[in-house]
Amino acid sequence: MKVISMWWSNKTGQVDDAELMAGVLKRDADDFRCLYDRHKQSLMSFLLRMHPGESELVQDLAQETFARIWEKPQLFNPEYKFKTWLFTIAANLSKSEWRKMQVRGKVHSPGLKAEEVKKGSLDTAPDVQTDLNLFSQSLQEALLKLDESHRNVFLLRYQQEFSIKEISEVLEVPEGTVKSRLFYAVKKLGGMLNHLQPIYQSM
Amino acid sequence: MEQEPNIQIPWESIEHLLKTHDWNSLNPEQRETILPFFNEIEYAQARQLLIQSEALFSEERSIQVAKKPFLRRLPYGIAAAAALALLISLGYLTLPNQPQQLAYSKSEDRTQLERSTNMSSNENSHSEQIKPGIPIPVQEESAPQLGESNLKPKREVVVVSNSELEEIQEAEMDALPSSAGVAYDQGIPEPTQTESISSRKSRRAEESSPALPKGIPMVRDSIWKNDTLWLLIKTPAGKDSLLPAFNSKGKVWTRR
Repeated sequence: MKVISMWWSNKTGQVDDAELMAGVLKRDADDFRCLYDRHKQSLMSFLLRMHPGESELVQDLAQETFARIWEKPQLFNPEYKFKTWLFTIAANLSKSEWRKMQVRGKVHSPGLKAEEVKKGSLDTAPDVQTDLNLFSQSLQEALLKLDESHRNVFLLRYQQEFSIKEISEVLEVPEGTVKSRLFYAVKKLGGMLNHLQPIYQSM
Repeated sequence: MEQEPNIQIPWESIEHLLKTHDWNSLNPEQRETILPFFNEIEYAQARQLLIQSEALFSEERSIQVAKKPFLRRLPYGIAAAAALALLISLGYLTLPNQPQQLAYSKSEDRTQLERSTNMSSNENSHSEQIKPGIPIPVQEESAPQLGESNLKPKREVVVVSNSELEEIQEAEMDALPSSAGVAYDQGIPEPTQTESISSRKSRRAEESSPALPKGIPMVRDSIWKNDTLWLLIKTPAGKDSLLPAFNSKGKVWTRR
């Protein structure tokens, strides 16, 4: 019965993350499952953009992120949002993975499988859908050319809709640095995606 | 990574303008805010990027939480409620006031359950009939696995069959200490010899492993072996042991 009520509360968003974390602290697996169900998709989207074409690695990183939450729930500070903490762990794991790849000289294959990031389809008009697919592919290729720290801030800001303050908490850098990175990320990406905007090329 | 100049950027203002104004609609004051950072072409590129990214990411999010309108979901809700009511009425789902049939993951809840089960075990028998060979799902306290359908790993316990149970009993008999004993006149009901072995065994399976409050041993079952009555005792340490039963005269209880 509890499982059903938790599921229903989760669906209707009645229980906030902090309450669920209090349950996780008491080793309540149902509360943990609610948190997992609530955040896994956004976390996976973020990680897929960070490590395109590496779906197994992304799965591992997501599992590891949630495993750390289960293992050390006492590290959660209720003054902050749960999602901020979740992405702090994920970003740190992603960063160390990125470094390992750099050491091994393994470079991401630039070709993003758009369907990996955008599984399924809405009732969007086909031409708009095609445009978005094309943009998604191009954006991913451009993101791969960005520095990891720039890619991080861009995705946290525009994909995950974090505030500047939250990003600074996730990445543990000053807010000024976040703004600066956002500026350079947007400027570089805009330049790289120039080919998608023929109207501006003639300006 | 190339070195970035350490400049103070009013990014919130710039971002807002990028999302809301094209270059031509910027007033002179807004252009003054933008010009140290973007020229006209860069502004247009950045604006396009943010608009398209917003569309893309919002579509991704809507795919993740694609919800049908309320009216389209209503029939499913009604069907689910009806199915739930049916399951409850048939006894497949239980309410929280029947704790002995619920699965618990918290140790404190389990202790409470065990106490209440133990207190009522003499009065009530379980309604569910456990059949040999049918797996019983058991909740564990280990870290939940991450997955779509089953975060709580379940361990399957199979109720042993009658023949297996007999073998276990005989093995226990062989390892029996002969010196220890329990007086029979301490509120332990004498087993009726007419009661069939299978019925006693199935009863034992139903009443399996209720733990006791600390310090009190509990008689879980009694067995006739070689015309002697043996008692299956659960010790305060939680171990099972077989001891011979004694009658009121201090002699081992026998059939004759």
